Amino acid sequence: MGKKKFNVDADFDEALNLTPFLDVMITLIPFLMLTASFFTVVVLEAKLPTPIPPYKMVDVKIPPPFDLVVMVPKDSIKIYVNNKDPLGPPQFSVDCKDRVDSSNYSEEQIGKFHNILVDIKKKFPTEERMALDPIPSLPLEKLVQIIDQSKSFIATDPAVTENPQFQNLRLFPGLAMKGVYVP
Amino acid sequence: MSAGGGGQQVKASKFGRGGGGTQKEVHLNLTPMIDLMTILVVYLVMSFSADPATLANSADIELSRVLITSEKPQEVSVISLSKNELLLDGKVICPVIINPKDGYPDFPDSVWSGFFIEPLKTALDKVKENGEAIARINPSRPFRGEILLHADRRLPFATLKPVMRSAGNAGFRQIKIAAKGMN
Repeated sequence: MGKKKFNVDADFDEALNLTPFLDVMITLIPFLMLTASFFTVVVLEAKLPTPIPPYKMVDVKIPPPFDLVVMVPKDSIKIYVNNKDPLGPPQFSVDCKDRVDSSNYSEEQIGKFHNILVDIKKKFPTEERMALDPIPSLPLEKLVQIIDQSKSFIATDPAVTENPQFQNLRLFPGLAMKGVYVP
Repeated sequence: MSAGGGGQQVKASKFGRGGGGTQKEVHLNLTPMIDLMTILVVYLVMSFSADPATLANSADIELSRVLITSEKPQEVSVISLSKNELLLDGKVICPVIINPKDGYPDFPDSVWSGFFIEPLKTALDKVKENGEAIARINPSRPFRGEILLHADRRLPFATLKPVMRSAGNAGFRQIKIAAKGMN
């Protein structure tokens, strides 16, 4: 009685059919590439002003103890802090005239605006409110840049690196849109 | 991943097409391609996002870019505003036209009701009713009056204002503006 000799190589000789796998992959990759978004969607909060009910009007202090208003005309960003004369010149201003692409601010311009807000925050560390008053023609991208720079410190801000107190603070998160009165 | 079979066997003639000479078995090694495809598919599936802002993304809406903000969008109703139409949660509310007076994108006269866009306000009232009904049943999901504004970066503030005002009047005072995060 002879021993049956197994041919191990013959048992596994059949090649793995990769064609269906490759078909699926080739269909899946273009679909995923077309539908994928290669950026992160983030959101910026912009509160709308809330009218004060008449019975609370007695508690309202006019002028308010801290009043930070950012006006955004066409060619500049004007910052008013506790300004007694609303028609007077702003305490701070960022000139934005020299710009070919008018749909957004340059990094230098928006950085200058951010640094002014950081200086104001140094003087008023407990204040969080800010009113934003844009002109009708202001593109959304500029508005978004201003909101972005107004809410938080940047890790490299000298105020944060020098003073640990600012590490747990935000810049002016209580930002509200002026001119969008909702009765 | 390494395919067990290694590669597909392709019989190729040593002397070119239809040569009839000695045939040589050439092994086409598919392993690197399969490795690459698998990595690509896993990466794309991981980056495949189903957040509301991405779902409502369309070709004619280009988001603004921000440098600091990193807040992710929550599951809220989305108002999409392009140069052509206004949508709420993917449903068309009204078209966007060009105002001949100032040249800004605007809404047709038929949809205005005072300062508000009537069809948008009506649709948002229903969303609010649903949100409040859910909050009554499930107190862990309170109605917070948040809405996500997904608008094209080139749109002027004049076009956004009535949308914000209508949302605010319907009870949505926390406007979240969608943008592209750069960090």
